[in-house]
Amino acid sequence: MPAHNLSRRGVLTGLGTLVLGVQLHPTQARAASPDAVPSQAIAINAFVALDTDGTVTVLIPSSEMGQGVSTSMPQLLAEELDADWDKVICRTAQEAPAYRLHLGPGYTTMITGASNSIMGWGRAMREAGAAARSMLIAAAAARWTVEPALCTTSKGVVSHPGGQSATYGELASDAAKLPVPRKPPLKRRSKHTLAGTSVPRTDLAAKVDGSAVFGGDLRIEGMVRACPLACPFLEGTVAAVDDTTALAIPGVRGVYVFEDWVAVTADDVWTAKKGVAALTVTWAEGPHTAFDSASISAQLEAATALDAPNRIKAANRVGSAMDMLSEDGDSIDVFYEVPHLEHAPMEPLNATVRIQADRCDIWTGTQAQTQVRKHTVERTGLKPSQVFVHTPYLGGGFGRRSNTDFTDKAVELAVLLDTPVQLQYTREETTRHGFYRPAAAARLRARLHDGHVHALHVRLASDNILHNFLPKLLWGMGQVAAFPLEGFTHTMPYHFEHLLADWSFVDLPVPIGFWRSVGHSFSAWFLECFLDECAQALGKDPLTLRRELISSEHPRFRTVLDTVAEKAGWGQAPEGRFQGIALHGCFGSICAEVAEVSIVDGQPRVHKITAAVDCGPVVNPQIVRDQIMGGALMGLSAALGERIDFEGGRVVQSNFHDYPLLRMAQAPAVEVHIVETLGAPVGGIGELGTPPAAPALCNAIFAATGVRIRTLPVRDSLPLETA
Amino acid sequence: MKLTVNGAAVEVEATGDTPLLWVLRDHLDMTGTRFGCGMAQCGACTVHLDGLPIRSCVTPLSEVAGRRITTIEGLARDDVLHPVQQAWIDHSVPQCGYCQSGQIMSAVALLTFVPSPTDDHIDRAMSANICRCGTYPRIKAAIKDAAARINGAMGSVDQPAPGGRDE
Repeated sequence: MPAHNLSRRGVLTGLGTLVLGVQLHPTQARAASPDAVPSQAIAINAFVALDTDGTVTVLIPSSEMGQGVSTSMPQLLAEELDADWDKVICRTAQEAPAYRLHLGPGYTTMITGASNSIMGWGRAMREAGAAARSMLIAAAAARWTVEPALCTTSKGVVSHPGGQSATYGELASDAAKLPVPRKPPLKRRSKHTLAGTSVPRTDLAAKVDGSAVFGGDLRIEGMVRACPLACPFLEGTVAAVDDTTALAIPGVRGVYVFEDWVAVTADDVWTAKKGVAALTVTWAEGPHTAFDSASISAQLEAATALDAPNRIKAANRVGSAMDMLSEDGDSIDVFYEVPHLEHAPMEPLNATVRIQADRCDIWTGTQAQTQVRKHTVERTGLKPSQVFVHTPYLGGGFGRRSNTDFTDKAVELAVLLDTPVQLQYTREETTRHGFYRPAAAARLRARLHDGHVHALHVRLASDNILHNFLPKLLWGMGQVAAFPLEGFTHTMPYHFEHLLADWSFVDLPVPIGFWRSVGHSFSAWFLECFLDECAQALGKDPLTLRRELISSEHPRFRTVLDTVAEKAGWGQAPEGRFQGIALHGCFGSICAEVAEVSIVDGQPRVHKITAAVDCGPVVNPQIVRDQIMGGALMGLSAALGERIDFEGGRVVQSNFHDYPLLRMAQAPAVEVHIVETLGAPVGGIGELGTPPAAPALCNAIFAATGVRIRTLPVRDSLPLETA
Repeated sequence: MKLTVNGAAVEVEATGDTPLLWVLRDHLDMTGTRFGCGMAQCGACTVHLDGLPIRSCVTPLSEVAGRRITTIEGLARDDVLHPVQQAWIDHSVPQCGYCQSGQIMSAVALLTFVPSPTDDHIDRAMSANICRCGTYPRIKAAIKDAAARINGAMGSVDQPAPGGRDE
C-alpha cells in the first residue's frame, strides 16, 4: 500500500494561484470548473479545504472524464469527515507531489488510468477525511476546553454534550494550525451512510445546462486560437510550407512550422481552421510509404506461426501444452485478428497555455498531469515550481489523454508567441494522430480429450505499448511480455491441465497507446470466443464448459458467471433471439456479460446486454452500473464497426463518417447486476465492462447463424449468412 | 450581422461563412454548445433554429441572420431547468458530459414534435447524436420520463412540449 502525503505542503501549489485571468463562463451550477477553489477556503490537508460559509472543497488527484471520480472520491472523504454532502464540491487538484500515485520503486506520477482512482486513492481519501475530522474536533475541544473524546460530529458540525456546537467553517482556521494526524482511525464499513450509496453525481447540474468547463471552453485574456496540421505520413516531416494564401485571410495571425507539424494562429477557431485549409504543405513522406493494413495482417499472421522468427516470450506455462498438442486426437487450430482502434473521445484534443516571465499555466483535459508538467518545464525552461497544470473536465479520455503529444505541441507553440494560445485539434487531426489500441492476432490451438479441453496454446502477436516507455535493452523482459498477454496470465479464472500463452513481438511503425481495458480489449475476445469453439466441438453448453474450467481458487468468478446466467435467463432467449456469454477479470474486478442478438437481413441487432459485476466493496452503485453499461457499449461499438486502416503510410479514417461509433438506434438495453464481495479488495470499474462485450456479441452471432467471427469488426463480415 | 440568441438580439462581427457554432463559442463566448466533428456527424453542436434542431457546425452565419436561435443556455426559464434537463439529472444521464448539450437539444426538439415518443421515434430522432460514454439507455429513459412530465403538466398529450425561451 503506497504511503500518501497528507501534509499541507503539497497543497500549497494546489490552492495557490487559482484561475488568475481566467474569465469562466458565468455559472450558478456547482462544480462548473474542477479547478476553481473558493478563494477563502482554508486547506486542512492536501485533499480538503473548508470555507467559512460551510463549503467543503474536496481536491481529488484524478481527472473527471465521466467515470464519476468527482463524486465517488469526495463520497469517501465526506463519509469520514461527517461533512454535509450538500455542501461538498469537488475539484481536480493542480499537479503537486501530494497527488502522485506510487506506481513502482521511485516512480510517482499524477495519472488517471488503469482503473486506479478508487483502488489507488480510496484509502487516502478516507484518511484525509478522518484526519480533517479529528483536527476539527481538536480545534473545537481546545476552544471550549473540553475533552475531544466527548465531541461528536454530524453534517459539518462539531457538538459537545455541554451544549456547545460549531460548524466546520467556523473551526477551519484553528484546525488548519494543528498537526495532521498520520493514522486517523477509520469508520467501520457498517457505519457508512454516504459511501456505498448512489448519491447523485456532483457534476450533473453543470453538464445539463452547458456550464461545465471543458478545455476548449476556457477563455484566457488575450489568447489566440490555433489549429494544427500534422504530417499525415508515419514518421514523416515537413519539407516546405507555402503560407501566402493562409496569411492573406483576415483574422489569421501567423503560421508556425515545426519539424512534423504546422500551426496556424487566428482570432477564432474557424479562421484558424480556414488558415490550415489554405496552406500548401509539402511533406517529406518518411520511411513507411509502402505500409498498409494488408501488411499489418500479413505480419501478424506470420508472427503467430509456430516457427516464426519473431522474438517470442512465454508469459504463462502450465504442464507441457506443446507436447500434448502434437499428440493425436481432436484438436482445434484457429486464427483471430483485431485492428487498430481510435479512442474517439467526443471532445477533440486541445490545450490552452499562457507563458509569462516567471510562470506558465496550462489548462488541458489530461489524464497525466505530472508528465504534462515535466514536459512543459523542458519546453519552457521554467522551474517546476513555476509550471501550473490545471485540469478542467475531460470530454472523454479512454486512455487517449494519458499521452502528452497535444499538450507538448501547445506549449511548443506558446513559447513562440507573445500571447496565450488555445490549440484546438479538429476531429480529423484527432483521428489521424491517435495513439491507437494496437492491432493484434492470436493463433489458438486446443487438444480436446475425454470430453474436456486438455491442452491450450495461444500465440498472440502484437506490438507492445510498454515499449513506448522502456529502453530497447529491457524489451525482452518477462514482465514486458506479460503486458500484451494480460488476460491469459494471473487474472484468467480457468484452469487448463496444459497451457502455454506466449507472445510474438511485431514491431509496427504505428503509434499505440492505452485504449480502455488495453490488452484485455482483445485477449478477452480471443479466449472467450475460442472457448465457445471448444464447447461446440465438445458438444457442451458454453456456460457449462466455463463452469467446468473455472478453477476452485476463483469462486468469485463462478458467482459472477452464475449470476449473469440467471439474470439473463441463459438458455431461455425469446423466439428469434440468440445468446452469447463471456466472462473476464481485469483491474481487480470481474465481469460477465450475456448478449441477446437477432439477425435481420444479415445484420446483427443487439437487443440486450445483461452484465454481472464483482468489483469488491462498492462506493457508488449507480456509477458502477453506468461504467459497466458504458464500457460494454464501447466494446460493442468497437466490435461492430471500428477500425483504423493504413494506406501508403497514412491513416485512412478521419471523422465519424468513416470511423462509425455506436449510435442510439444500435444501442441495446443494458442491465447491470452488482455482486458485492465486501471482504475483497477494492477493484476498478472504468475499463471492466469493455472486454466481455465483443465475445458475448460474437458468441451470440454464432448461436444465431453458425458463422464464427474471427476478424473484427463484425461489419467486415456482413451480411451474415444464416445457416 | 444581427441574430436573436435565446431571446436576446445580438450583433456579431464575423464573416458570413463562419459556422454558427464558432459564432456562439468564439464571438459570443457561449461555450455550452460543443464542437465534436465539424461535419454534422456527431450532433454535439445541436441548437434550435426557429425551433428546429440543426447542426451549428455546418450552418453558416449568413443563413441564420435575423432568425431565432436557442442554445442549451436558453432552455431554463427563470433558473428552473427545462423538464428534459431535469430528467437528465434525475436519470443521472451524463458521464463525461461533452455530448449532452447536443443530446438535450435534440431531445427537446423531438418532444416538441412528438410529445409521446416510442422507442422507434427516439432511435430515429436521437441517432444523429453520438455519445462515446454509452449513456444511450439512460437518455432513452430520461426522454420518456420528460415526456410524461410535460404531458402531465399540460394535462393533454396533444399539446406540444415547451421549447426554448423564445419558442
